[in-house]
Amino acid sequence: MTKLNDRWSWWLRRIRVLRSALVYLDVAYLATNEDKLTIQDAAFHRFEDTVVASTTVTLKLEAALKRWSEQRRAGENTEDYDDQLRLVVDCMSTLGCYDDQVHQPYLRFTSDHYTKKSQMAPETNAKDYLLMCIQDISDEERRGADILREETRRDASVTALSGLAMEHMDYLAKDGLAEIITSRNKTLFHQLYNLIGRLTSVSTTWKTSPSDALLAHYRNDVFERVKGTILDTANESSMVENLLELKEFLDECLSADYIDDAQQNDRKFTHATSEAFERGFSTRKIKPAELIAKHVDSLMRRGQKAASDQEFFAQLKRDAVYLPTIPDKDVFRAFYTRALAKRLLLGRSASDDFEKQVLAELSKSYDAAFSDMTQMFNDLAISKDLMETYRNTKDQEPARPDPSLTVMVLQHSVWPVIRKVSKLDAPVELRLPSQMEHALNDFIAFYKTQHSNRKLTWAHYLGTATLVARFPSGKKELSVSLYQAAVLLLFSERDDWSTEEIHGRLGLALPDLTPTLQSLALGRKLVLRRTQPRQGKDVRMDDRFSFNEDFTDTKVKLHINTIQQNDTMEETQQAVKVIDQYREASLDAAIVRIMKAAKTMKHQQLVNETIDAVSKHFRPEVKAIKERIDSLIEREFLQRNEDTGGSNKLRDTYSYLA
Amino acid sequence: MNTSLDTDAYSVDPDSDNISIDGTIKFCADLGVDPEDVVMLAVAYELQSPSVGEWTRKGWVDGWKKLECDSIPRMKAAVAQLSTKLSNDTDYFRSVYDFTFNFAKTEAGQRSIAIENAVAFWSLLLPAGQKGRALQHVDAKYDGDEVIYTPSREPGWKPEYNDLWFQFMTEKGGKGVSKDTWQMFFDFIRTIDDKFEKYDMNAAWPSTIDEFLEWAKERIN
Repeated sequence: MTKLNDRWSWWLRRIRVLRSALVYLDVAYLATNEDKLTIQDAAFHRFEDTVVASTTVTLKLEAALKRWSEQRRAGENTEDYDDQLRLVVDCMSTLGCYDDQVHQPYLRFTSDHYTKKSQMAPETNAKDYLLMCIQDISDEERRGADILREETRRDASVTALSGLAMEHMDYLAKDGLAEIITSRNKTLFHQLYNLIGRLTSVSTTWKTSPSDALLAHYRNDVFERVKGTILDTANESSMVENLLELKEFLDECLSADYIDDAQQNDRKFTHATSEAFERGFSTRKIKPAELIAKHVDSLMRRGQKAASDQEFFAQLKRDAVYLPTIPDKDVFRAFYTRALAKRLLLGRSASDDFEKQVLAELSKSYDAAFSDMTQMFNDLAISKDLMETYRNTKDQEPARPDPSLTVMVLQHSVWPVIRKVSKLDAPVELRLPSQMEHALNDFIAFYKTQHSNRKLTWAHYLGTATLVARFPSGKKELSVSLYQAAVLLLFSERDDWSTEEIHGRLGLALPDLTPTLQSLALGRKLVLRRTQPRQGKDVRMDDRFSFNEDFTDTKVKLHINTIQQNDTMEETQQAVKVIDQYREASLDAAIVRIMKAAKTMKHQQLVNETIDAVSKHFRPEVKAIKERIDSLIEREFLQRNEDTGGSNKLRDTYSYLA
Repeated sequence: MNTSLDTDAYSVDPDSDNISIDGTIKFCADLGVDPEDVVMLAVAYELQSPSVGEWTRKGWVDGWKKLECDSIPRMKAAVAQLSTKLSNDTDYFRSVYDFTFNFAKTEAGQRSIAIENAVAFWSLLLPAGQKGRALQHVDAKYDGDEVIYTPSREPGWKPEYNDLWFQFMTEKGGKGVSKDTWQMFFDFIRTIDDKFEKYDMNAAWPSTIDEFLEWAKERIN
């Protein structure tokens, strides 16, 4: 190389001398004569023909270029011959041989280097490999900037990309993506996306373009994650939180600035996310919808805390409105309704305004039926006015019983939590202490004067009471359920009661009495005690209870929780039963409505239209629809078309029988 | 009118022209046919018998007239012809098959027939249809809304599958067989392939047949 450079410099000097000597010839004759070369050009050709065309020279030059590129890639110092190489590159450029002598060989070395390097992919974890690719690709664009032309570096960068990623496209788009999502690395997500995008444009002969492959892997990866979370029965308590967290991360990744181009209306990844979540949710029935409703319930109970109104509403909107992209919308609604009812009745909701806003949002986004729940607020408002009127009338007649009664008058159809007393085994739900009974009767008499045609039934299991108890340690205000209150008041009569006696006196069914006693004598706040202490929290008929004189608590106002375990199980079962009935009825109604309008319809179309008709509430299985069609045929609402006659007709059309 | 054309010969109830069980037995004996032979279902269809062992005077007279029979020998010949027709003529088989559902009802106004009863009638009808061409396997070609059935080269429903169907209906069939299931079963056994692979769960089959298919698939393969 040194020799080449020396000769080149010498040659250039000679040419200069020759040109100075023959300047007139050069300018006046050769330059104007098109078929003659200038002295310089002729001299360059001469040099090219004799020196550059020599295989020895070319090979030596390539070897030098190779060594240089290897050392540079290895991060070694090449200062010693950088200058010489620069001269060679100048020489080749001047001679017009840059492409053949520098550009092409350099890209070949680059390609060899990265093809070899790419073989380490299976041994590296995909994320590190991706990081390496990104680093190498950007390094190639800068490497040799002092010597190589820009186009060479740009091409080298593309060569590195193809060398490293072409063979490992799936490895990057699948394993790489999985690791990125697992580590919640937003930056790397975008880098992968860009890399795959560049890779797609490198070749036109992809069977599946890397961009499409990435999208497909993305959809599947998210689906598997959602499915995994949904089916993880051991960690149900964190299911909703986990899903929300994943969703939030993905939304951030896909935000308009990066991947999905909102302006070009390219929402592929956003759609893939929704699709993956929806499919993931459908892997398990009922439970996800139930858990989401319960999650919103706990948010509503907890309230906004330090968050601003806006922030809190945004969170509610995100949790309550986004997640129910579940197929079981009706399940969500059923559990949501029950939870809302309980919050309102027990005064546990943080804010009525938020409740109403969320309902409005839900009815707008999903199902107008959500707005039916606003009826509950009406009932409560009317009850409040009613109580005011009641108190006013009482103030004028001081002889009437205890005024501290509050009654909420609820319409049966609006409140899902009202269970029918007649369904209980016992003839009465609960026999109240007489002064309470008097107060209720007084209210009934008052209510008759307001609405003579209405009948009131008491739902005592929803009732609450505040009792004042005087323990030796001090006066306590106990906020308890009406069941608990009824039991506790017995102990002001006498100090010792057996389970059987309490049961006999109150008429409270054992499934209700047992948890009540457990909450008072075997729970956290032991206001009663079992007279013969023993292990175990079961309650026997001959267990005896007495007032706990040793009871102490730092607070004056106490809330004694009822034991809810069985209650919620029962509630869930009941809700599921209601949903099943509702679905059958909805399908029947939809099919009849469609057939009534159409008179006759083919099976497939009827199935499709039925799915559409109920899709706002739930996604039915074709099997369920077929069963309803069977039933409607048997009940003679529909018939299978027979009039076509003969054995050579497909019997797949139904008609409506008016 | 020939006496054998009238119901008098077999009517044992002096107050009625209709024939009942005892008359039926005598009549079968005259024809030389076992009362439990499947051809009696074809005869019942021809004479519009309302239910097992009952024949109305009108159905009897009109039916035999249509078959151009006025004597026992001609009746015997007609019955033999009906037997061949039942086994080989698909449309005729289907008419008798559909008729049998109402015929098998034990009470008027019933919407379905008891499984036991249905199985008994299937046991008569299916082998008769399988003996000849009446229930041969067909391919369905769709031409717009029309479907054209042509004899299939591929194997279809096998006679031994009958027992599988009976077992399924007895174990899982629920309360009874609806008219729709009864009628569609006819289409089903003509079109299904022997491996139950070409069945479309989303097509208009009653769900009982869907369930049978799922249940039976494991058992035949």
